[in-house]
Amino acid sequence: MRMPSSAGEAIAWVIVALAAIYLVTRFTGIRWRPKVLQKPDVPLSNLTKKR
Amino acid sequence: MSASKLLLVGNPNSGKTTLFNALAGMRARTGNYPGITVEKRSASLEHQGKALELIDLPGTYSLTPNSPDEEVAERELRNCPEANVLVVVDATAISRGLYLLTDVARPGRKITVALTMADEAKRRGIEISAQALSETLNVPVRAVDARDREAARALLRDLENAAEVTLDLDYPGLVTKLARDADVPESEAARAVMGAAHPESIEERLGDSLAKRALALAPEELAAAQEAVACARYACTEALKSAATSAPPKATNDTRTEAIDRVLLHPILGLLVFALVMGLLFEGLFSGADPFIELIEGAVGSAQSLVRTMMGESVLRDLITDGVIAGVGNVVVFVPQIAMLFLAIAFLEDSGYLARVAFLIDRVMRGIGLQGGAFVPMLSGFACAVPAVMGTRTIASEKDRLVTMLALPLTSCSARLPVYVLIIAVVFAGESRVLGIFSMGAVVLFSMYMLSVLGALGAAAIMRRTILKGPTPPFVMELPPYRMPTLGALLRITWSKVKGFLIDAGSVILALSIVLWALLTYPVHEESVAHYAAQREGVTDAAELEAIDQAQRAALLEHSAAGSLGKAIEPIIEPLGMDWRIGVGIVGSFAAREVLVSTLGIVFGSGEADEESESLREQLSSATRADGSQLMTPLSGLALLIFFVFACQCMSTLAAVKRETQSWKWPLFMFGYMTVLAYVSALLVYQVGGMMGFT
Repeated sequence: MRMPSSAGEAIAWVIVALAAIYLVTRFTGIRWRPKVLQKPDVPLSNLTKKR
Repeated sequence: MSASKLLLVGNPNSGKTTLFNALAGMRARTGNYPGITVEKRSASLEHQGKALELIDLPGTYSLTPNSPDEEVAERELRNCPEANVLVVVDATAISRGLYLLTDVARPGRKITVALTMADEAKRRGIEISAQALSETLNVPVRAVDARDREAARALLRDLENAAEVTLDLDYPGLVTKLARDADVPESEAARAVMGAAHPESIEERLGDSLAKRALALAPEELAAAQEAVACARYACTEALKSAATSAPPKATNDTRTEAIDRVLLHPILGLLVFALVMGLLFEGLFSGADPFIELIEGAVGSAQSLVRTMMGESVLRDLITDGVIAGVGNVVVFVPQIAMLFLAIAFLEDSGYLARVAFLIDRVMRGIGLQGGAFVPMLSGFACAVPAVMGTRTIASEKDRLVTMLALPLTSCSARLPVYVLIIAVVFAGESRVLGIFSMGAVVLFSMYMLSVLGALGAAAIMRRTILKGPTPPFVMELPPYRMPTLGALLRITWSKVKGFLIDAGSVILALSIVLWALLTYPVHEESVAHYAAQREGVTDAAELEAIDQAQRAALLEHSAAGSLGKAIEPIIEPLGMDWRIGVGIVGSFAAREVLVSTLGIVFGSGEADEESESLREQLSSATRADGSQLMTPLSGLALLIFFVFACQCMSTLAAVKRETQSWKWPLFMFGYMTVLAYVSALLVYQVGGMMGFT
């Protein structure tokens, strides 16, 4: 892999990496800090459940 | 020490959330139709040096819940027996409010009452004495303007005097016996009798022993007891009302609301008015926002030029101009239209008109097997599908709710608007006016919205007849009176939505733009660099050099990671009239639709733009395919528009459906059917249109 050819390009690479990490955490739900899980207060009951 | 709780309970559209906002200084969503609040919302207050947790509950007519949102209210009241309850009673519909009060009251429950909309009741000739009602109930009762913060705060002072209500309820013998046998208060036994209509949740709500006794009653005995309980509550309600009402209401047959309703609810006139209102809305959206869009486009272009002047030629400069500014800037350009759409929807909602539309549409909805109530969440789907999916909680039937949830993402949300406007402006600009009034762009925009509604209704109809069969329950909805919305409330709603959009543009779109720029820049195709460097040797003519630069940019773009991906999917999208560059945009837009605009801004900007920045619209208009033919023609534009009408390109909506259904099955099904529908529709439009000679 080639190295960045200038300081500007290195900064650009860092910005791109941070943006990619942000997107991955945002869409996968991975968090740096644990978050209290909240269950939905009204789950739709399983439609196949027999009553 | 934990905070004491104050629960806000009342009928739908009685002004609970407005009161909640006034008390807590918050700006939770309110509106002039029932069912805006579908989950509990809380705020922490300090009252007389003590912490107080204020909880706004979804509206309900009784504590025998019929729909998931009513369950939320019932459950919260059950789980907080110690909490103070503020019962919000709409003075214009006092009987219904007092009926709920008879259900909420129980031994030990401290209650205060807020009478809202007393001014409106007065206009209708209904004079209610809060003092007389307070004396009869033996609890504080205060008439308040829910929007007035100071008046609302006075309610908190009443909490000191909150007490058990005194009710003269004459329950039938069966309830008295049930109460004695189970050793519970009569009010509890009455709830068990009424709750036996929903045996699936009665044990959870009332406890094993009482539930078993209620369910053990013979059906005829139970039905008679339920009727007797309802009659006892109504008799009590009427007695309370008579004690509090000093003058009989004037004849209200011909109120302003009813006069307007004669036109707006007319089966034919009503639909015509609806079509006209929508037509004007889209004309306004399309033509009215143009000057603002040009202004922002100019600002985006200037920002790019400024950065280019300030920074020397470098990769970092390209990232800022071609990635960040081109990506985010091209989405921000559409903020005026989004603001106008939200403002118009907020106005129609708050005026009470949208509730009428739900009523008008009920007939159509029943034809496809859905109730009119499903139209309300579908309508909010025009703003954003995520709250709309949650809004389906007002629907009692589970299958109806699921069908609505799966079909409503087809209604055109605000994120589709930038895509529509961009494509329409590129391919339908300058076309002649329709009927001399509406611009062609507005007509196409209106058609896309109509197509999305037809798609949603059609999908619901098919699902109702195939995978989710079942009877359609009747639709009962309270039509709110017409009210002139306040400018402040409209601007607040609009600002909160625009802010949400901007924050989204500022985070996801910004990050996606940066990553996409990298994917369009790397890997650098060294052979192309060497090839064009050799071509430049000996050339001195500026125009010729510029042409070589342009060709190099195009070659590098084509060999980049995103270019390779676009090229890989090109065979799939070519039959829809699109090329690899649009393909890159489509792939990106599966995260969020509006990303298409930022992606196209980057793809076309970095490939073709020179130092003098052109607007994205101009770049798209002049873009050509490899064979030199024009890329964006009316036919290919239409196919792209139709793809975006039907495609499921929103991760947040999929997550919301997963959350509400507690399963991945339904969101995956939704994604699958919408994607297939989008592809096949766009394919048919482009191929059949081409065969018919359209370009």
